[in-house]
Amino acid sequence: MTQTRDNTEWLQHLRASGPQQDQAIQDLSAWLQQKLFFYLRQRNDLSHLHGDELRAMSHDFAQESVIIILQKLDQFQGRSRFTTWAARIAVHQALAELRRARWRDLSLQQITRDGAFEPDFLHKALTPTPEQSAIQQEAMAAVMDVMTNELSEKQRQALYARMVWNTPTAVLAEEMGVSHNTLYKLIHDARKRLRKGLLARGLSPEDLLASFD
Amino acid sequence: MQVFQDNQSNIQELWRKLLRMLALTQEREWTCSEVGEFMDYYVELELAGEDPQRVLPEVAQHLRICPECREEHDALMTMLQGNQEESE
Repeated sequence: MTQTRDNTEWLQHLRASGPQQDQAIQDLSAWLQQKLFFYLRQRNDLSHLHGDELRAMSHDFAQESVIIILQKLDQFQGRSRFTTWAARIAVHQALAELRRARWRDLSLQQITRDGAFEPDFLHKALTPTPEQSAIQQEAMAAVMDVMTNELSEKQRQALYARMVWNTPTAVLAEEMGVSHNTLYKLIHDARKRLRKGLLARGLSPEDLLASFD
Repeated sequence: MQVFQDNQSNIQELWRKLLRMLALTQEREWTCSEVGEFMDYYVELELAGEDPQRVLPEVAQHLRICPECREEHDALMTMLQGNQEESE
């Protein structure tokens, strides 16, 4: 099993052909399936599923992951044990599928009303109420100002979808027609602009955060 | 699914979430794919009782700000810590 192979042997065996490769694939798949099953069993949102269903799910995730791992063997840098690297790929795949499944019923189109930024919620959220302190009201006005005047439509849409709806980034990137990295940079740039906007008005996000506790 | 409804307590929570993100925002940050490439190493350091935040501060910063990568990190930790007797 897994303890009999070091990193070099894993790579050699998975790149080999015939029975040696078959055995390595079988061992890796079985190990990943066991680890995935252990993890899925801990998830509260899957607690309604029977052991057999979780085993089947782990099996499918492990099979899909092994295919990807075989395609990515050249990318293994040897910074960790091979099995840790493989488990990272498997968990990445499994979580992406679980997030998609959760999200399936609600499309971005519904959230943003045909793709346009839907400001009702944020507008309400950014409208100060009498209970809020002067500093909170000032912060809300500053954020609203930067959001309206300095962020692009795409940045507002992305922030809204991620923060208010918790839209999975993979789903959002696909809906917006951009790569995952581009989406991260788009939101990162929006965060930087909002942070600068607050600091330029003498408001520190750290102090403001304390005022909301 | 966790969705914010427009009531006052959720609005307060949204504000905390936004300000927490802005407080953690750095001029330069690693993307999810860059972090993903080092996640295996980061988790092994953690499991070995080392200080991964000192070795890979960029990953530690990203994990504080990105809920999906944090979920991936936590899941990987669970997977590798679980069933130790049957694992490697």
